[in-house]
This record gives sequence, structure tokens and C-alpha cells, in this order.
Amino acid sequence: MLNTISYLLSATLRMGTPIAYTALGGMTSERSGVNNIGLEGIMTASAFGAVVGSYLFQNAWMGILFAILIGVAISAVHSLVCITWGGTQGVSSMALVLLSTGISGVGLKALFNQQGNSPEVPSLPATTPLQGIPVVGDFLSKQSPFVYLLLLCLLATWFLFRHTRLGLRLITVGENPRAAETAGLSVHKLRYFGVLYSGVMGGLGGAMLSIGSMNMFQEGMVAGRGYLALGAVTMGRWNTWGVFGSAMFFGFFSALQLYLQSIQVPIPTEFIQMIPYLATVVVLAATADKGSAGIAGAGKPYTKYVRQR
Amino acid sequence: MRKGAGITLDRKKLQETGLTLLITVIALLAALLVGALVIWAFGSNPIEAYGALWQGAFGTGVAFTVTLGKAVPVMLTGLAVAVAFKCSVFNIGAEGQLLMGAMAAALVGAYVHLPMALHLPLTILASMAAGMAWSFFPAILKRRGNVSVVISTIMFNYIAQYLVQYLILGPFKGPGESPATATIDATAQLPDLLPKPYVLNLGFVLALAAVAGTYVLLNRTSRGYEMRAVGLNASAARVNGIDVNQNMFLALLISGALAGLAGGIEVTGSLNKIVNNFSANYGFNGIPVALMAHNNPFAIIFTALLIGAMRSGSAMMQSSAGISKNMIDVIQGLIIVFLCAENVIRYYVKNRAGGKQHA
Repeated sequence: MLNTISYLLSATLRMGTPIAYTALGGMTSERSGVNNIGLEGIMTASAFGAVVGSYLFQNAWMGILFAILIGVAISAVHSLVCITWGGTQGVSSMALVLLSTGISGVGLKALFNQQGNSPEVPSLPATTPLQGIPVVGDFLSKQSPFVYLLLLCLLATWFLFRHTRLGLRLITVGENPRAAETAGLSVHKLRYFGVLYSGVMGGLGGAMLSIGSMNMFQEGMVAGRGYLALGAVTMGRWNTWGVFGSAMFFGFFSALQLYLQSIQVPIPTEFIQMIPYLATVVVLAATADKGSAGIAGAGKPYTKYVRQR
Repeated sequence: MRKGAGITLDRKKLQETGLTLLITVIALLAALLVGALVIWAFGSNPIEAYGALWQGAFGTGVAFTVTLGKAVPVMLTGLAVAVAFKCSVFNIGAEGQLLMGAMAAALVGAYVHLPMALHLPLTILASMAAGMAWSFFPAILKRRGNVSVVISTIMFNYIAQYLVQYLILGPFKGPGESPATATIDATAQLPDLLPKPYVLNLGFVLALAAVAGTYVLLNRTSRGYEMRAVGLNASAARVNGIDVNQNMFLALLISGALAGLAGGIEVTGSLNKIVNNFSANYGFNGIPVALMAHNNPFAIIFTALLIGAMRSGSAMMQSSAGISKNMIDVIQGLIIVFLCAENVIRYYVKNRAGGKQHA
């Protein structure tokens, strides 16, 4: 029993952490007024970037740095298209997904001359310094450093929105860009910050997948987690703790799937593998609020190129 | 007087069409240019790569028919995306709807036995019904529960993928070692249009018919008018008594049927059974197809041919220029990115025209 709980808890952290990173980024972007359906793409490209960095320097921390840079680069494309050009945000997001899957496939062949997956690279599966702690040390040290880094990001994001002027301004440009501009704020700069922040967070989320819980990149390894993150943002009602909780909730269903597979329940694997996706749909249907419109200004471009309604 | 007004209106329409075409061409060229930089950055020769892509797609008569054949599924998924888009619904679930359509066609084709005049239409209809059924869930969730269509259609893609995998490996696994369903009856196979070695079947004609049908639905029926009204301005449509939610619901169902048809034609036309992971993103390719065509059904014929050409030429590009097939995903992504500059281009064209008038 204790083993089961420990397994599920540990697997929930492992599966939920990448979703949580990405969801925190998605939340920040949406609060500033730019929807980012392309989180999946950011995760894919940075999962690949992490492997490249880790491979080139034979150091997993350099992998994290690479992943963040790639995440920022991909989200910069989204910023340019959605904020400066006033393009449709959902459409641009799909471009990110195509670009990212494409680039990682091309990169796999060009850099490693491999198809489908990369060679094994240095990874960060455990946090050994925590081993010394009595009772829980064993459990804590078995978690990836990404899990602890998430704690920092969580606090930083919470602090940003709760206690800083920047956070308040982000919320303002998201809710009412025209009023914000009248008050002298730069809508574009603030929105760029929001979207690039989602690049940093999505980068960490992607890196966790390839060099946190594994030690290589595989095509299709993100497997919809970017969209689960998107669901977590909605379900968490754009609130840091709510979003974190929702991400872990989705992580739990992935953990449950792994657990059921490991104890070999007599259900076909394919149905067990459906669990996270089905659960997301069911949970969103159960929690969706018919009246709530979310962030007032989200999804609408604010540039001179598009007539404001 | 009235005649004169008519002519200026036509000229305006012509100008608008020209501008739209210009935007698409600019986006395509910019994407190919940046794509060339990417190919160069990854250490291959862009001219060689594009040359091989062209050669693979149009180099021989047979290759050209392959290109036409590859255009069929993306033409239909492109239509699927476009119909939904016209009504402000972003259906990124065409992939799953296509899979379910293909599955239904494979089952009806292999397990129902009828003369061809009945069997073939039944198989095709089954694929459309299955695609529609698969889009029904996201549609009803949107209508009743206000669940984001983007998220639910994506989730149903994954669910379809696992469901089809289960059916292929489990209850409906065909004879032999390979993970595939049984081959469908000859009575359920689409006849070839050209003698071998050319590969073109009746599916191409069906796809063109679907284009015409979609055009008629959108532009010649009152339902289509309502859908477009919702897409242009939902609040205005609502004020004018149009049921916005009902139209979005229907648009998603029609979209699903078209994507299902794409799967049905793949099975009855070329594959004759389902192998595991056969679809390779036909559903997602529908998005650039629809966007490049600005959701115009007839323009989709051409944009689908373009994407079909990329798909059929990519293998040769990989083998002779050494750049991964995935490069065509990069190019498609770039096309979408540059299409998003539409507002910028329109702004400058309009301002220049305006400036001239004042001067």
C-alpha cells in the first residue's frame, strides 16, 4: 500500500511537472492577452534543444539552457506574428507546432543522422544531495531536480502576479489593452514579456521530458502534453495555484495510466493509454463555466494593422 | 448609372482577389526562402533539396499522378478545416476524424459483402458517418458545456489513435503477421482512372465533387449564409436572429464528415486496409491547405496540390539531398507564419492607395 502511494506520488510529480511548467507559461501569456495553443510546439522544440545542448557539452544543465533558448526563440515567432503583425493567434500556434516537429525531425537527421530518436545524452534523473535527509530523503532524492526547480518557478510566478507592478500591468494589458495604453503602458512590450515567459517555461517543460524523465529525444514524445497544459490553464482559472493544481491533476491521470500498466490489469493497454486524454475532456466538461469568458482581451490583436472593434 | 456601379464593384472584387493571391504568393516565396536558409544551416544544399523535391513531385508522369493522389486526402481535410473556419470553429481534430473514417471504411469494406453498386457507396458513406460521429463529441461538448473545441478535438485525436490501434492489433487484426486489418473486398475498392503504372483513382474525382459540394453549401444555401455570417461577426449574426451555437455545431459535424471521407478514400482508393500509423498527419496538413486558400473551396484544389506535391517529393529530397522529410513540415509552418502577415500587407497596400487618392 505504501509502495503504491509512493509510486503514484512520484509518478504524478514526474508526469505533472512538465505540464505544470508549461501551464504556468501559458497562463502568463494568456493573462497578458495572447493565447498560445502552440505550447505543444514549444515543448517539442525545446525537448529536442535540451538533448542537443546536453549532447554538445556532455552536461545536462547546458541542455536546460539550450531548451530555454529554443523555447524563447519559438515563442518569439509567436510574439512577432500575434503581437506585432496582429495575426490570428490560434493559426500562429499551429505554425509553431508544425515548425517545431519539423525542425526537430530535420535536426535529428542532420546532427545525429538518426530517425525517430536521438542517442542517449547526460540527464538529470535524481537529486542526490537530498539523500541525507532522514525518513523522506530516499523519496526526495529520487525526484529530478526539475521538480524542485518547478517550486522556484511556481513561487516566482505567484510573486510576479501577486506582488509586483509588472504583474499588475500584465493583467491590465490582458484585460483592457486600450485603457492600459491610455495609462501610458506599452501593450506590445508587456505582451512580448508574457509570451516569451511562456517560452522559458515551455522550454523547461520540454527539457524535463527529454533530459529529466528520460535521457533522449523521441519523435512524438510530447504526446499532447502542451494541450493538457492549455487545459490546465483553463481549469485553473488563470490562477497560479489553480493552474499548478490542475496540471498535477492531469499528471495524476498519466501516473495512474503508468501504474495500471505496471500491475498488468486485464484491460487492453490502448484503453489505459487513453486515460489522460479522456480524463481531460471529462474534467474540462465538468468544470467549464458557461458564463466565464476568461481574459477579456485574450485572443484579440492590438496593433495598428488591425482595426479595433 | 446602375451599370457603372456594377462595374466598379466588380473591379473592387477583382482587386480583392488579386490582393489575396498576392499575399499567398508572398507567403509561399518567403517560406521557401527562409526554408532554404534552414536547409543551408543544417548543412545541405537548398537548391539541390528543392530540385529533388520538384523532381520527386513532378519529374515523371507517374510521379505526377502520385502527387495528384497525395493531394486528395489533404484537399478533403483542407475543406474540413475551411468549413469549420468559415464559421469561426477551429477544428484541429481532422486527424482523428480521418482515422475513424478510415477505420469505418476498412470494416464495412471487409466485413460487409454486397455488389459494388451498393458496397462502394456504403463504404464511403460509412467513413463520412464515422468522421461526423467523432466530431460530434467535441461539438456537443462545446454546445452544452462550453469546452474549448481546440482542446477537445486534439484530445479526441489521441483517443482515436489509441482506439484504432487497439482495433487493428486486437479484434479486427487481419490474416498475416503485419499489424493491419483484412483487405477490403474488391467491390469496395475505388476504380482506377488511368492504366498502370499510373496511380490515380476515382477518389480524385470524389474530392473535386466535395469541393463543389462545399462551395454550394457555403455560398448557395441559406445554411451556408448563416455559417459565414457567424464567422464574419458572431454578435451581428446573433442580433439578426441567427443561432450561433447551432451553426457552429453543424459546421463541426460537416467538417468531421469531410475529414472522415478523406480517410474513407485513402482506404478504398489506395491502401485497401488500415496499417498502424498510416495517416502521417494528413489531418494537420489540412490547416495550411485551408489557410493558404483563405478558406475558398476552389482555391483549396490548388493549395492541396501544392502540399500533395511536397508530400510526394519529400522522399526523394531525403534520399538525394540528405535533408530529412520533416523539412516539409518546417516549410508548411513557415507558410502559415508568413500568411499571418496578411494584415500588415493589407495595411500598406490600403494606405498607399489612400495616399494616391488624396494626392
